[in-house]
Amino acid sequence: MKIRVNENPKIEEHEVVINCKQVDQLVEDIKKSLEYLNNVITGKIDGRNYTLTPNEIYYFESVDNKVFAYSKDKVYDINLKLYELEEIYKNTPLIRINKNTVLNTRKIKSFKSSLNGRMEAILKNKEMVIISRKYVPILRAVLGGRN
Amino acid sequence: MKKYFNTFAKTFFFTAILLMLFAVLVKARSGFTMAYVRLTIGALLMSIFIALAITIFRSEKGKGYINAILGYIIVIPALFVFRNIFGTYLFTRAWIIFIVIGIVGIIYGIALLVASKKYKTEVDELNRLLLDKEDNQEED
Repeated sequence: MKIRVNENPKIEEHEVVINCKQVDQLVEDIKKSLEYLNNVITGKIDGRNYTLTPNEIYYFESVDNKVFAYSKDKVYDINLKLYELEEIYKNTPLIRINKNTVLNTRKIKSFKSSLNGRMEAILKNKEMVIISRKYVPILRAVLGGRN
Repeated sequence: MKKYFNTFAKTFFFTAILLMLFAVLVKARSGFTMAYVRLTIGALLMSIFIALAITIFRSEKGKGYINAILGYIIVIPALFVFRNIFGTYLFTRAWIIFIVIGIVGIIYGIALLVASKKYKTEVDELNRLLLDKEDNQEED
């Protein structure tokens, strides 16, 4: 696979064109990765709006009917419901892991289980989120395991 | 609270059946018919403790092992309620309650071991998948 980047100051919007003989699994995977990066949402901190790409989001959490997006070290107020976020990030590494959390599986460092059977995901920013057993099969499938 | 009441309802169902079976056992052994009110109140009280223990055990807050120990400690009063319901019909000696507490503790420990082993396998598999994925990404 050849990767070519055309740098041109006149270009206003990034455009990715995939040239292929036929659409195969690789093309589908490339499309999926690009769609993942393309799902941009807006988050607020102290009334200021910020654009958030999925790549910088670690997880979304719903607290008292409000949804927050957590990046490496910032928390953004999101004006969307968790189920709407789930819909936006369908077929991406962002999946629901418990009633209140949508997690970016690309930000997981490792998994841990405790004595009472609780499963925890340790994130790359050293935060910890709890995974409900109900969502483990989906998580396994996203990570490439058998469902 | 909703979660607790859900657990309580299920626990009450199973505790009531268990107490009924013991009441039948007492009837068969000593011919004594247990009072219905006594059994019902006993089942209610036991369910309160057991449901609380289950809720704390499953709680997503706090340290897992502390929740597991607390779960067992909270179950113990339910066993005293059980002894109170059946009195000398089942507990012919005073020390039998301690044997029951011990047996429940052993069962609880075994269940914990089996469950944690099962969950560990699951976690190991997820960690392996995570590593595989990272390796693939590095290769790309």
